Amino acid sequence: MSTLAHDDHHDHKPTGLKRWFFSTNHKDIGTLYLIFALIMFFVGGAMAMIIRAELFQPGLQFVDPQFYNSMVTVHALVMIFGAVMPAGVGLANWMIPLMVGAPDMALPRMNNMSFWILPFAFALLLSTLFMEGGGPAGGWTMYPPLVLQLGNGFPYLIFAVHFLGISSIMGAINIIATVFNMRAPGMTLMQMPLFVWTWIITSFLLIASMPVLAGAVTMLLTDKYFGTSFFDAAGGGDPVLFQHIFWFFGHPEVYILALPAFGIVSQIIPTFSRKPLFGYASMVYATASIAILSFFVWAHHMFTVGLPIKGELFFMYATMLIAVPTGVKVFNWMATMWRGSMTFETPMLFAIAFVILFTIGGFSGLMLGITPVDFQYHDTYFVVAHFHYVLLTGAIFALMGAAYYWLPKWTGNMYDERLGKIHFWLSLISSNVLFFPQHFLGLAGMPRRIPDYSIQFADFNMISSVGGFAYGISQLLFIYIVIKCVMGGKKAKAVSWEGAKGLEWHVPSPAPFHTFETPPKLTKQMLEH
Amino acid sequence: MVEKKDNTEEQLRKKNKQLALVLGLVACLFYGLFVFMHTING
Repeated sequence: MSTLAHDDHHDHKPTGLKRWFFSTNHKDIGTLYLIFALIMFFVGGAMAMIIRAELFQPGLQFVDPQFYNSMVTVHALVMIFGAVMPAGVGLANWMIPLMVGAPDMALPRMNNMSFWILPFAFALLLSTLFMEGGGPAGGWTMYPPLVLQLGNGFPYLIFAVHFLGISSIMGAINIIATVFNMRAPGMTLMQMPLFVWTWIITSFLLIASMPVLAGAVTMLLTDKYFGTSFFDAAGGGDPVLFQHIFWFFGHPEVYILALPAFGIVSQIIPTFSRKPLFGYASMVYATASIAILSFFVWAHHMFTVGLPIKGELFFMYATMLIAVPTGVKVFNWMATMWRGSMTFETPMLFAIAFVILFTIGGFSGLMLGITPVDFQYHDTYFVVAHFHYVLLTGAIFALMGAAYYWLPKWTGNMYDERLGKIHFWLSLISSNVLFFPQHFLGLAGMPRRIPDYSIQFADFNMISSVGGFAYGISQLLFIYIVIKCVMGGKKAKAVSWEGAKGLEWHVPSPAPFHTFETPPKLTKQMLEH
Repeated sequence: MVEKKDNTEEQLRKKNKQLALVLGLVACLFYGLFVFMHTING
């Protein structure tokens, strides 16, 4: 079975630095993306540690307010554009060709360029922290006029965002071309694994929304240096216009981060439940519905700027509507597990935690989507708690689950299951200690993006910081587990998990450098998912 | 036989490039339209 995709005599690969700098191999580029994402996860995490250290008790302890605000801003940009998105693209690079039976990505050289733009973009962004005027400190949303006060770092920020956008768009184009043109003969769209579906839909979101962000930051640039006044009220412009444009990108961006996580969980849960995914077609339609609706809800991020009442009602109801397809997904995952022969290996633990904690994040999102309620919660720690439940215990938990799920396929070795489970439980407990109290802080009125706070918020902040440090330290265990797995361990079989289905499990573990050089002849068994 | 395979690969490469070009143009169009729309508005 495992020989179908591979001939050992042809598995020659380049060596040395050349292999990585000039790589056009989807597996190598996937690995590069994943390593880069992991490094950025720790860079962004270090910034989060500074934030939590400063907030450990009231008063100013370690950093000045300007630097604190830079940490808040750059932490977000690094985590969103440097950690979660590249990790998702890394998984897509590694797994999509294997899942659809393609020999590589459709445009391998563009794939190389998409990746190598990233380190340069982040060099630009992070270099601003050492410039006169410091790094960007007005929040990742880059609202004018505040962002225009940034010193020498401003053009670096704008060009970094442009480069990140270009990289993402090129990655998205590659994924679409691969799935549409390179599928194994006989594999219809509705036979693709759900992970591939979520990435196709995410790619269209990227192509539609990234240029809008690029447009918005170009207008910021011309406002600052070329005398235009798109967002300058004194020149006839409107700063609220930026918020509309930004969130027209920003809300689909939330789903760019979340949809691949949905895809991952939809692979893991059936495997460890030993049942096919419940409601496959409804999952595809729900994903597409979420993506389409995401373009009609942007103003729920700006209820408090003073929108017309009809606008507020429209955006409130549209936001509520997203709960329907999201609910379909959650119920389908539960129905997949229902009466399954479940086992609880580390990927499954992360997937189950994802379903529960992402749903908590979804519910707090619904609360924020109710206009009059948002007037109370807007710009408080409740919002911080909400999006960290969605992005950390949501997206990052799914990505961690994916890493454990596919590590045997990537490395040929099983990871240390006992350590994996310890990593999971430490992450689960610490992330909830970190973020759950922030709901209470927000409800009590603690504003976000401040380095100091009133004494009544002290206890919950201290608890939150303890959770933050524990979460940060426990992620070091993940590095150890990955390195240990790469170095050796129990040999993984081609089908590394008893219940695993799909084409990627029909290639040996580790997956050879070249796979599917001749298109596979699909059998019914290969198309199961 | 080899020639036939090369031909199919060449066609696939062409198809991939065409799709990439169309999608790239769509992205540029979104960008251009957005900036243009706001420029004439201002």
